[in-house]
Amino acid sequence: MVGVFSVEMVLGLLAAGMFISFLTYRIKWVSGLAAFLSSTGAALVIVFMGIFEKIPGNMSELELFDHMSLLFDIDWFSYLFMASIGVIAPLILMYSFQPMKDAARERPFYGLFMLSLIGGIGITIARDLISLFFFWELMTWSALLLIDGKRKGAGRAFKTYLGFGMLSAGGILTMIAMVASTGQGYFFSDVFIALKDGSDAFRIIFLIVGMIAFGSKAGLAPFHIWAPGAYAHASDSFSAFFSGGLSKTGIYGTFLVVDVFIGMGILATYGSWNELTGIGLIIAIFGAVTALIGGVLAMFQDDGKKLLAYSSVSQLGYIFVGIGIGGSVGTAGALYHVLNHTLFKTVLFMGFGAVIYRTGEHRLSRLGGMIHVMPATFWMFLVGIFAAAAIPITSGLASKWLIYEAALEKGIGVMVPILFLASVSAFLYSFRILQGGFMGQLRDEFKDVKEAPLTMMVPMGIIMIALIVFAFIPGAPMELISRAMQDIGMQAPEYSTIELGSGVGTYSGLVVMISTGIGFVIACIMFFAGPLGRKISLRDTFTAGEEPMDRMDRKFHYSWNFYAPYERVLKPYFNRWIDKAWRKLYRGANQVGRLHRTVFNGDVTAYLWLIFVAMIIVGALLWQYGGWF
Amino acid sequence: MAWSTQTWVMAFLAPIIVFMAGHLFLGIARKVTARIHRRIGPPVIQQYIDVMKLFGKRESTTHGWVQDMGALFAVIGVIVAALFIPIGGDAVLSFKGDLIVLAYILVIAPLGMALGTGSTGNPNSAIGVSRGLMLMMAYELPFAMVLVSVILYYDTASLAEIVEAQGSFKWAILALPFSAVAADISLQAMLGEKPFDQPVAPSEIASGPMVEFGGKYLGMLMVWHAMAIVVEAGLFVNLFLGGGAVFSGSGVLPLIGNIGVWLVLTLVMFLVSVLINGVFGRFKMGQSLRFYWGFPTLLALIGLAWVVLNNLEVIY
Repeated sequence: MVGVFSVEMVLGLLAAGMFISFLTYRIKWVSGLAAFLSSTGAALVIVFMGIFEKIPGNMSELELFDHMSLLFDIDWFSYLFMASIGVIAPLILMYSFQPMKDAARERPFYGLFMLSLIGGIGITIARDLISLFFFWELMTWSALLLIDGKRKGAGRAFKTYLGFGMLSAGGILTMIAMVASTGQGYFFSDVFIALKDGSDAFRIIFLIVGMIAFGSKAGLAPFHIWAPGAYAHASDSFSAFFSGGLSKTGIYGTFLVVDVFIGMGILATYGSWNELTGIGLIIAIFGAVTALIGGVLAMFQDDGKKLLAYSSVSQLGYIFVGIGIGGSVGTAGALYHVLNHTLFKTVLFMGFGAVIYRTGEHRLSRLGGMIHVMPATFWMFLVGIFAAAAIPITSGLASKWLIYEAALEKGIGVMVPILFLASVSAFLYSFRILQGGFMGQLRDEFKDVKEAPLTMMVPMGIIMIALIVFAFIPGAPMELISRAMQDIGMQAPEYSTIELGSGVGTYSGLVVMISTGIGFVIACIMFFAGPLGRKISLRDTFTAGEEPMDRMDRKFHYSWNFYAPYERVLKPYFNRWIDKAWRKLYRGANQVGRLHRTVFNGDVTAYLWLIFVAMIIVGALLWQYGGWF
Repeated sequence: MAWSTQTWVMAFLAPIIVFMAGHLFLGIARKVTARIHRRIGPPVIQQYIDVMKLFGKRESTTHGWVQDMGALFAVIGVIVAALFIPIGGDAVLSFKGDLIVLAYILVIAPLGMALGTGSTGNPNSAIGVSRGLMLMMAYELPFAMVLVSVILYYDTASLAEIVEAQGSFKWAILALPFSAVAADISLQAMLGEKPFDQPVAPSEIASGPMVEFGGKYLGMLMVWHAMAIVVEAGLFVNLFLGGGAVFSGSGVLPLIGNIGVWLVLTLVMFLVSVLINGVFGRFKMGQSLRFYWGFPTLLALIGLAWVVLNNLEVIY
């Protein structure tokens, strides 16, 4: 008997939606509506599952072929990830109605989207490695087909994503093989036993393989190089889901490896200091480096989507820091940042996607002044930017604060300045995209651009409201997080609805918001006491006596080479040397591959000769050592 | 800590104290700079006169509501920051948010102002803001290290508790001299004094962010600037100079005395940077990055190592 609020219901709804969207992909509105309705239904089921506490459910089985069946179950920990992926999906689908309607090409966008959604949700509810692998590949391949941008570099992004997709698939297969070699089953509990009984080397290799498999999906340095290209060149509507939703599966996998399969208890046996495991520290350092590299490279991007993509890499780095530091505060921070990042990265990609939809331009140096034509989009985008930069008037601070506090609590002195630097770089890239895209002077060609359509604004507005509401009550998501942490055997830090606490400090969202309100009242009294300002035109600016008459629109928007002084100093150190190292590896592999082409060169005569030579050798061997056969 | 009457009163008084002190400090700074240049200089109350004049202007111009919002945000941000730093040993609201929260609160005002200036469409303001942000990137590295050293030394991130721990003249500047020097060097850029006044740079980019702001709008920015100076120099006083809490005992009189000491110490810290400002030219952006990531970062690292070693000695 399948309950209404169960995992089977979610998967069933999504699968039905997917089939209808695939079948009707030539009739766009039917396809889109089917996807939207089914994913909305699934999202509602997910939400009510949480409200009615239908968790944990019962283990259920879906037989695909003979001897192969997928196994699902849900606990609060996987529910957190399932909810963050499942709930934003209908919003993004609604957002994508308009761009898809206007797109010239006919392609099964909604079907592929639903397929990747099923993959993403399936990963979080799979209960054995085989099912996990199945859904993992479902997600990877359907996402691959949506990296179909027409701009230059899309092909390379496609190939890079493919390469790293194979890498992570290989990682999971290796994990399966390693568990198989111990003779245990593939259930997560079996994996735990297999690892507990295994040798130290076995565990360490399993951990490294797991980090490669899942870390590469989340864009952990040095595996981050696929992310900017893939996020930037995916369909504008899909980027939001790709970066906001699906990247969380990598985080989920990392949590599985570190906290479920191996467990902090065993990791602590490899050296620990102040309740901080040595291996956790290494993960945290990789995370911090990822945060810094992502942030600094985002500063220097002219392509707005690429900037957001690098920012995504940077933000996921924070989550790895939280996972690595572990303990109650660190893990809570990581899980909280999962929720936060899902919300604000989605709204950021949506907001910039709306600008691209209306203008067809993604280069910041060619945009500018969009607040004058798209003010509502600007507001929503601004709240997203505030959350990404962790400004206290949005929910963004709570999660980063927890991660900082975790590092301070454990006394890792050098980690915090690196994270701080990554945070400052977040201010810099935030301002670059605001200034380049929305502020400055409006170009003449964009004078008649309209505000984003309603189907785009409603999802953005919903997320914006969520980001602001959670700033008042930073403790509210902790309810879910503390249950999720209990399921992986951890205790949540102390919290109340309006206040978070750690061993070293407190953060009260409500007090910060109230004092902002007080400041607002005082500032308004000062500001509105006198006469209001007279509105003057955009071109009526101080120009130090010069009057540039020709091409004024181009000259008066400062957005090209934005942080040039620092680019000169910093670029040599951050100049994509990781990309270059991977490329070198690729070339090396290519050369090895080419060696075999000298023999198997595709010429049939050569193959005949080879067969002839081989027959002679085999014949000679048979004649000499005939007794063997 | 509960919400006592004192908390409420201080929560209302703190912005006023910071407002009044800020303009006074700027007036004194103008006088001091003038004397360094062998001028007589304006009267000490000139800043009050300027702000009153600006708010009293009959007309001011704006490029739209985002510029209005920027001016508002600048003042809102600095008022919130003023509420979250302890003044004269009195925590005001700082027990509700620790140093990390404060570090992010301090950014509300500059980012808000950046929004307002960006919307004016004048490239000079965008250049100014981008310079300000780049400068932030330069000085935040040593400053973050300093913050971490102080937090690890006192084993709390709460600024109120850090001030409390420095009671009876056990000032952190004596315990953590390297960090204090690094923090003071960072303070120079935080206050935007030469050689780190690139964001404003009147002779290059026409006062940068302020270029399109006149009348009431400039008045708002000047209020922000004056208050920000007290908040930032006051942060240093709270971190390293005992937060001005020299008179013990409860009651109104010790509190007033402590606030007075806090203000004097803040003024001293501000004047140190004004004196440096008086004799320096301006760095280029790349130079300031190289400078801050060099010597001050090294000092801050030494300070951090000092604290870590110190803590280890305590443990063993």
